[in-house]
Amino acid sequence: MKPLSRNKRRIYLFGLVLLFLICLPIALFFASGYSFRHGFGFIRTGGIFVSVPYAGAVVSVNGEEVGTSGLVKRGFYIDNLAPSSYEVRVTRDGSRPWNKTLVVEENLVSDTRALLVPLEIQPMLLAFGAEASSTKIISRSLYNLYSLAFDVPAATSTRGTFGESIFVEHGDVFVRLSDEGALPSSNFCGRPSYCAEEIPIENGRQASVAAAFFGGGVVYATKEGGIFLKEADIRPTPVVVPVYQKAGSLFRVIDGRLIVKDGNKLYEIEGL
Amino acid sequence: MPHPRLRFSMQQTVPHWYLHIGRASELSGRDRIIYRLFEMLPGFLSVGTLLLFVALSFTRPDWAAYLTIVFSMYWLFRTIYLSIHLRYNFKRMRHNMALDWNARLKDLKHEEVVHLVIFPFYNEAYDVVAESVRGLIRAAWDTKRICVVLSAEARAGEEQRKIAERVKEEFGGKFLDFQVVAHPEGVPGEIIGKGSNISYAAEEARIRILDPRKLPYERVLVSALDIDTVVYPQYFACLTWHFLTAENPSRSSFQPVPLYNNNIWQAPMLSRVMAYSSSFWQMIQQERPEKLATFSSHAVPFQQLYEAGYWQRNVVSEDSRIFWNLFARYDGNYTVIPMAYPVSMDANAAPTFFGTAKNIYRQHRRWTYGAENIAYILFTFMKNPRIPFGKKFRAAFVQIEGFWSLVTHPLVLFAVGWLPLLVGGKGFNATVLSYNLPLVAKVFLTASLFGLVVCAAIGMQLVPERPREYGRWRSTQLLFQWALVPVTMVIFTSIPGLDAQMRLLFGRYLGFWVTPKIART
Repeated sequence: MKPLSRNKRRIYLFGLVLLFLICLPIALFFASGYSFRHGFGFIRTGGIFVSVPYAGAVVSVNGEEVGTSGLVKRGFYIDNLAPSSYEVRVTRDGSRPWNKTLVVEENLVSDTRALLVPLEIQPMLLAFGAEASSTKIISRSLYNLYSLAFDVPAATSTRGTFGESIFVEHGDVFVRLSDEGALPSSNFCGRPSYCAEEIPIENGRQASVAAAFFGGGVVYATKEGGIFLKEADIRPTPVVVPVYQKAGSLFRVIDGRLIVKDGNKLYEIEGL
Repeated sequence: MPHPRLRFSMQQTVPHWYLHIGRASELSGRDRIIYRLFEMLPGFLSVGTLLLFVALSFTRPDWAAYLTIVFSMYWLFRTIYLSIHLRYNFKRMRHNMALDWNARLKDLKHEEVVHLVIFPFYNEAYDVVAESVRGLIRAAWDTKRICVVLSAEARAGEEQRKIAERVKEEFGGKFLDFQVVAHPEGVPGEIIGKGSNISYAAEEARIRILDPRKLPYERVLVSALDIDTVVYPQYFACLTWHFLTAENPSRSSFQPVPLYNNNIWQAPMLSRVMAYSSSFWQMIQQERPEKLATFSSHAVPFQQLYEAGYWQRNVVSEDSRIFWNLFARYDGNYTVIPMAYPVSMDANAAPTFFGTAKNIYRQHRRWTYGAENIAYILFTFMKNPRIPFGKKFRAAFVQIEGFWSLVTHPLVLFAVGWLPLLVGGKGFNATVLSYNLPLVAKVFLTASLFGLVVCAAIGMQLVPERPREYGRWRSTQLLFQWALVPVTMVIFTSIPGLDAQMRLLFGRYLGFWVTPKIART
């Protein structure tokens, strides 16, 4: 048996080189977002990336189901989208549906993170030494700690973990980038190529007194309406849900828990 | 003053004064600077490529991402191309193993051909040495046409000398001649290693065997076999046939396929993967003879060996260097003929996992230190105008590209190629390219896995019969072991390769490291 002949080797080599040269531009074009559309030729496309930090949520784009999140699968990348606006919807049993309008631009990906708020938000009355079905019993020292937290005035600005800060100014709440030079994350951008410097959380008629990052959004309290949770995203339509609707109520985030003070009573908000 | 035993060969190589240069420090003036720059070249290219990737990942992550896609696609096509060669060589090797090479020799004048087998050894046990010599006796070849030189290292002490004498006493009478020699310690101009040992042994064989028996040098074929090499039955017949039918036998070396089957069932998974990976690379090269240099156990006509001054005594990679010595000595008119016939050696294994990993790393660093040949090749090409430019260019390109890709490709594909995603910044991370990079690269890399399927299928057919003490699970492991390849490629190929090239770059020259051989049970 003779060694592989030079001619055969040349055929393999040139064949593969030819295939490589044909496939390479296709791969590079695809990777850059180019796509062939019948009647339009090659067009530049963009994409959407939806991060869903919950299992069992159904993701759809423009009414078309894309997939369901699981324990491992928490991100959905939808590519090959012509530049336009797209309605993203994420639904899950027991949660309020989440909708977002995303603008897709050429060669860019609009990313977003779904915020699913439970249908029922339960304020649990905090107590020590008493027993009742609607009361959460905690230790006296913890109760005192929570009470003392309300003696200190709420901060007018709070720094988040993603380079963003909350500012409470003249009764309004804004989220701004902490570092001026830093590129904004996508929630600041109405479209991928255009980003705002701040996200208004509450700048209407009500007067906000405190705000903090919590539960994937911003919790703020107004003098008139009580406590709310709002998604920090400039794109329509940000989630806004009432957390504790009673004028004059206050809140603090203590050790990752949302504690509400209403008169002399303390509540812990569960479910967020 | 050279050792007396070295004088003979220096006389042979005076017109080619550069033939046995080991490193830049042996030269002076302009030549020294040039050689040093050549030594630095492989490290410079590899580090340069990796640094370029890192720099691009920060400054132009889109370019780096495109390059990663190009690399991953190139990897796929290269895998296909190499797999074709591997599969073909496997078929050819199996065919050659089934042939009766003695029958093929009937019409050829082979009676005058004598085989000189050199076994260098250092601290191996009696069992290892004896089994290799028994392999020669078991071969389907008249042992009265085989001379054996068992070349111990004097520095190994009396114990090794005794092992050699015992082997000679037991088996020596079966051969035409059997000599035990002890390579002296501390000869000026030598480094400790296989090259200095077998060069000494070859000259001793000339003085003690060839000249007294008046054996014509041009009819003596020297097989320089590692001490753990056990030849397959038809090795000598196959080698003789290739020698006698070669287009230009006096300008040819002969390369068998090194299989690491001696202890493959005892060796741990990591060791097996590395052993077969090395064998498969040699099998691929067998079908690409223009890229083939001698490696590990190989055969050379004595006349040419003598004229080239034997193996270099001052380099680590004497096995591949001897080819380049001969290539330069005969002005580019020298080739390696692939035999597509195996010899069996020991897979690199130690009693513990970490011991094995350490040994494999060091062994592969030694092998990839073959990059030291690049400086030698470029320098001799510069000094020898009689080698045609086309041959110089091809040889230099193949060697430089080979050592560059060995180090850079796995590191790019499995490490630095993904840097743009980490350091490319928010601007890059918002692009379609950033999202598509892992998707596209994954497609090509996943498709490349079919190469592993080819490896697994061939590996299963090359492995010797499973010993009774091992169950079916051991056989199953032989299939699944290939999943380790992406890791072993980086840790035991790229990184030791980079380590070796860095040593050349900074002049921290590597010494020879003897792979420990464990007595076979």
